[in-house]
Amino acid sequence: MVFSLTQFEWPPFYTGLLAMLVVLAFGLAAVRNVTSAVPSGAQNLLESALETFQELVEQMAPKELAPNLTLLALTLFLLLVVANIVGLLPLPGIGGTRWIHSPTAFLSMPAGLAIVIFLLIQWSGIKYKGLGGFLVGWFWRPIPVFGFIVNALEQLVMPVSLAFRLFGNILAGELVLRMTTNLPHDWAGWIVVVVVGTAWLIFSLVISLIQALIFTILMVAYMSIQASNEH
Amino acid sequence: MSSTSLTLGNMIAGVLQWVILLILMRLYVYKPLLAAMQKRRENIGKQIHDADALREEAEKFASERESLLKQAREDAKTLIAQARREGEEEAKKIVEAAQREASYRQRTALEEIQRERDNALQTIRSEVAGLVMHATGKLLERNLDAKDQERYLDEVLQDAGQLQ
Repeated sequence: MVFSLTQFEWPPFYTGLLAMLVVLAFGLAAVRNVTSAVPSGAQNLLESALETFQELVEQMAPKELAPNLTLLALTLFLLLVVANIVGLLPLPGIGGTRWIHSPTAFLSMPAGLAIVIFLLIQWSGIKYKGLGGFLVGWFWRPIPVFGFIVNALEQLVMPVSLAFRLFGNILAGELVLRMTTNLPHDWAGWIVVVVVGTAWLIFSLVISLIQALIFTILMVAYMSIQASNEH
Repeated sequence: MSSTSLTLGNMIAGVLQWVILLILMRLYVYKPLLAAMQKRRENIGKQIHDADALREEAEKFASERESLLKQAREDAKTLIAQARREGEEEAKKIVEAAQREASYRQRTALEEIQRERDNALQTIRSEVAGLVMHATGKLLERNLDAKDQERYLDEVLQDAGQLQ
């Protein structure tokens, strides 16, 4: 693993941008003929997703945080779903690479998101427990002073596990799919490509959805726990 | 280029993509969508409210109609009873009047008969008196034996009988 301040990788940036535009296009399609009567098509789909997230967030988060957190989580979920699936599309590559990669199959984007989520978790702790309560939570629980070590571990594991879970799942999905296409191009190879490749593609699509949902729900859960924790 | 390398530029780009998408979605998608959903919620609430009001009104009308019907039935009953009573009274009056009329006529008829009889008796009396006078005169004119006397008396009585 290399950390670089200066390097920039374009494929995940392009595909991230593509995912962003796809989500935005879907959103605009949903509200193109927005109606307060019976919704249909894209509007219906987006409303269902929005209502599902509303219920989900309202179960966990503080009341005044819920509306904004719902939109934050829904946007993240939609972006991650499209970003996860982009890498599975059999599109011509950019810059000589055979596949378009998911931006989430690169560690940078999940890591960046996880760092922001880490900051959001701390922010919701300060906002809902007060700075004093927040600091007590960090340094004085479960035991004075040394509790900090436990808490630091716990708090740092959250974003790290978030980032690596998403990145690992999506990268694995892409790698295995790419391996099936690298098989020798004889009849046996083709059978494997069609049978295993198709099965793995369906599996990866499901994984893409599930991982996006896990990432988003964990963000909401961590923030809610930090906001409601009354130690 | 490795997918496990952590590049600051891509981290920032990933976060910015999320943030920018969130801003654009809030402005152009969530705002109208949430407004539409809110409006729908209000409409449904209003419709439920309206339906409740309509139902209440209908129930009120139904109970009103019920009570009106009840009232009308009672009125009809009273009217019928009254009409029957009046009819009975009327019939009684008619019968009484007829009875009065009949008894009056009977009485007058009896009086008439009485009067006629009295008149007849009066006539007979005066007639008989005349005959007696006549017979007496005849008897006084002739000296009759007892046998003749009896025969004359019979004649006289026969005359009287024919006269009557």
